[in-house]
Amino acid sequence: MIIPARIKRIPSKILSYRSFSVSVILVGMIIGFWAITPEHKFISSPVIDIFLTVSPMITIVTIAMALLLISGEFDLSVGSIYALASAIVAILYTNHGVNPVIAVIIALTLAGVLGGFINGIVVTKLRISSLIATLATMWIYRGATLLITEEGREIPYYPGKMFPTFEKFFCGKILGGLPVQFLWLIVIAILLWILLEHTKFGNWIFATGSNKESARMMGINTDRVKIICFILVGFLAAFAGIIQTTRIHIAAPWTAQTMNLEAIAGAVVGGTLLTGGVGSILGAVLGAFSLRVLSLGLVMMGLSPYVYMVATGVLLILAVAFNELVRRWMSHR
Amino acid sequence: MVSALVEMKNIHKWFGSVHALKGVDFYVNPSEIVGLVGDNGAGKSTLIKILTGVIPADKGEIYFNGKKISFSSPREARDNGIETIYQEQALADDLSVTRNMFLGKEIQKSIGPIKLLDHKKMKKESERILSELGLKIPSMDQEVRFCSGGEREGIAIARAMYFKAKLVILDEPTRALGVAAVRRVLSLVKELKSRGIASVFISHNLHHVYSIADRIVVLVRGEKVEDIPKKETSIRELTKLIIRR
Repeated sequence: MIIPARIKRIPSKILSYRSFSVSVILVGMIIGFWAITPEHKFISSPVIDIFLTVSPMITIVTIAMALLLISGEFDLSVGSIYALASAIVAILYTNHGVNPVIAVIIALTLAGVLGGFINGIVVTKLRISSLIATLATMWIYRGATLLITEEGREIPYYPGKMFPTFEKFFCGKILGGLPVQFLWLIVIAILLWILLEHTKFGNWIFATGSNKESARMMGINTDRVKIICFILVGFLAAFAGIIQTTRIHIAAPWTAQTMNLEAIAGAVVGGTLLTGGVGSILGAVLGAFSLRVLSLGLVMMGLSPYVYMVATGVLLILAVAFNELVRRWMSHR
Repeated sequence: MVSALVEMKNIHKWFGSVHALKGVDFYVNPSEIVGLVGDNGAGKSTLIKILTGVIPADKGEIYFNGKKISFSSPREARDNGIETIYQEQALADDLSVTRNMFLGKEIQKSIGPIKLLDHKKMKKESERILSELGLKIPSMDQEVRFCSGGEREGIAIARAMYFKAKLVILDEPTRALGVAAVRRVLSLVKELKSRGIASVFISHNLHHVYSIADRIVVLVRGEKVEDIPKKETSIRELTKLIIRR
């Protein structure tokens, strides 16, 4: 009989999932907030609607960041790329009347692909650690954003007036109210999951982050792996920025200044290791969700946004400690 | 006489003013086990690094299968069938046994135009080769970090075998291993021989080398001081050679 044996293995299988601890944390928080918010309002359709509307952008950036962290690098410039991409689409469309589809393609290429490519080249070819390299490009890309927006002025962006379908493509509603950006999140998460777990490139990402020398010995071009991961992160940060700008009808040059750290925090809460070689897409999604749920829950309780900062820090420490505990328990089994 | 699989002639290497290798001749015959011994700094690793393309020689020639070669990277050496197993560098700790076995040479299946990893087949193949070699690793999905030192060495050797290496270079494969694990590794090296794969066994431990090598090469301060079939020497003689100078 195959089934009983399989069932027997379930407990250890569940524990061995990288995203086990973050699942517990997320479910725990949801139940907790449900229990303590007045009239259990935490689980009500307006709150769920807010969550589905605002969480996809940061979550998309978080899963891309997780991929890069697994390869052993990280990217502090994601928030700048996010702002730069939204500034480019708004300037091209609003100030120069460029067709929005073309504006989006240009923004994705310049801010996303080129921005990520530069990060990758600086890290791998100039051999500058990604902390310093992307700290530098964080300022460069943000500076560029402020320069092209004329001292950081906000630029209106309302393509929906003339191109309603175009706007819906990024942030409309489908299937009776599901925000399109949430669908984008699901699609991107599935694609990245397939890439990471089911292609040889994914295997190379893990190996590059886990042991660069042994990956090289096995003939893997670890520099190329890292550059491609940087490009993916840049591209997805730009894409998330464009969704946000399309949704709020404005490009804000100063936006997303702490997005880099939030994305890293989300990935780490989801079980990704900063040292590389370990992590999962599902974990990163749940990690990003945890931070969003925490912030929404505290708002629902009428607490100040500063409490959110404190709570995020506490959550980060607890989540990492919990992850470590599960890992250790697994290894002593 | 059989023609050598690998032949290195008159190899010289300087590191600044240090003459690390002073005209060393070194060869390995097909399916031969060569023990390469010597004290720290004798030039064992340097010689191997030159052979496998990690660093270039300053003077000298290398022949592989009768053809003059000079590998410019470990990858090139590997593509030509020379596999080097360094203890720390051999495997990626965070990856499963299967993922390590097939790293860089993954088996794929096509779904339409898309190529995805064939996890099932890779797992089956890993299980097959490891059990053939008598290695009992509980699960192929287990991360390599949870494997013992002997098991890790075994996985790396199994990988070399599976991908049909012609020459396997083992750098201190028995260091930091327990008695049982050492025995297992030594028997795996013999298994390499029985499959027609040559190997170079580098070690500080003369007893380990002596127990399996067909021929033993002794380096002392960058010079080859002995190159002798095992039958014609003894551990005592070898020890004298290594420490006297």
